[in-house]
Amino acid sequence: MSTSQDVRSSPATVTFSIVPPFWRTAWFLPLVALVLASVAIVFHRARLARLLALERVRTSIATDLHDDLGSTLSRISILSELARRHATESAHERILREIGETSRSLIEALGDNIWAVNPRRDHLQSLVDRVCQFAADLLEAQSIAWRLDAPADARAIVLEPEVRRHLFLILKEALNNAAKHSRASALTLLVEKRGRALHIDITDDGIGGSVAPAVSGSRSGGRGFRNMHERATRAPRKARDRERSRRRHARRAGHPAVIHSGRITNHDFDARPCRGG
Amino acid sequence: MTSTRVLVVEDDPGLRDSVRLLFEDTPGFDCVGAYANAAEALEHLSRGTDLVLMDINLPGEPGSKAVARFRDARPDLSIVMLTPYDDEDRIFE
Repeated sequence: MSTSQDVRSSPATVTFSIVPPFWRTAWFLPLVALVLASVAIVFHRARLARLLALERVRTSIATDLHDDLGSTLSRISILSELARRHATESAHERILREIGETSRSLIEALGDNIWAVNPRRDHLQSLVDRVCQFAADLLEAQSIAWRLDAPADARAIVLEPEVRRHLFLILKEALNNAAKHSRASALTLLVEKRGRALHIDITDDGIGGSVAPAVSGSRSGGRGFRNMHERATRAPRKARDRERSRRRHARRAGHPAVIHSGRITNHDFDARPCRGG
Repeated sequence: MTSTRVLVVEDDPGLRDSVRLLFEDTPGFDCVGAYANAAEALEHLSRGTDLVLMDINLPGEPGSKAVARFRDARPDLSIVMLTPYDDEDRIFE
């Protein structure tokens, strides 16, 4: 056995390359970015299409309500008035008057609903205009001087339809209460921004009263206050009411005034007046 | 007493008839015609008409254009437009 001669040979060489996992390839990240961007664009377009479709539906509902129901109710109101003028018996006259009043109140409610769903009215200024119109009709008929202060840029403050509708109905109820029960001679409605909240305060110089029993369900309270409370708690975007009563020296009679206020978030403004009486 | 002579323009037939009946039944007013559109009403517009009561939404042309045509025909005519909308842009147009 000889070991004098070593056998030498060149080392075996194996060449290979390690294929990186697909997520570490050069094309993967750009591809993922492209896919994500495409998905985002598709979602954005779908959302935009849904919003446009919703706006078309709202416009269509507003138009149909006006054209169909509005004209029919107006006709009922006019015909009942004509029939009442010629009614020979007092019972007929009373019934016809009720038909007329009912159809007129339906026309008013219809107008509120048309306004609520109209996409061109989705701003605070529209709410302020409608409240001014309502206050002028209601309060001036009873010789109540009134003033409304609202932000100058209210048109730029977006209010969702449901919030806008609830706020308007709450304010209508409050103004109706003041007109019917307060015996006030002056009323102030103040809309202002406090931090991130929108506050609406109605103050009158009338006889005042407490809303607490009504809100808690007491029989002594009016249904109107409960309705206002329920509307405020039903309104989305965390809208809520903070109904309260507090004693305040009235300008003339020295009676407490009732304050109602609503609160909603995310708005900015300063005051713009509107008044009457 | 001289009655106010009113011309009614309203596309809804039921409402048009009701408004016409209301004017005919109200002392001090006389309905001289009730038409479905402004073109038809303009054809029948007489010098004796004092007032036009018209819907702001009329078939065929916007109420604002119809007003301009009534004004061209009779600059002294009083026109009352009816709208349930609180749309300032449309109303002031």
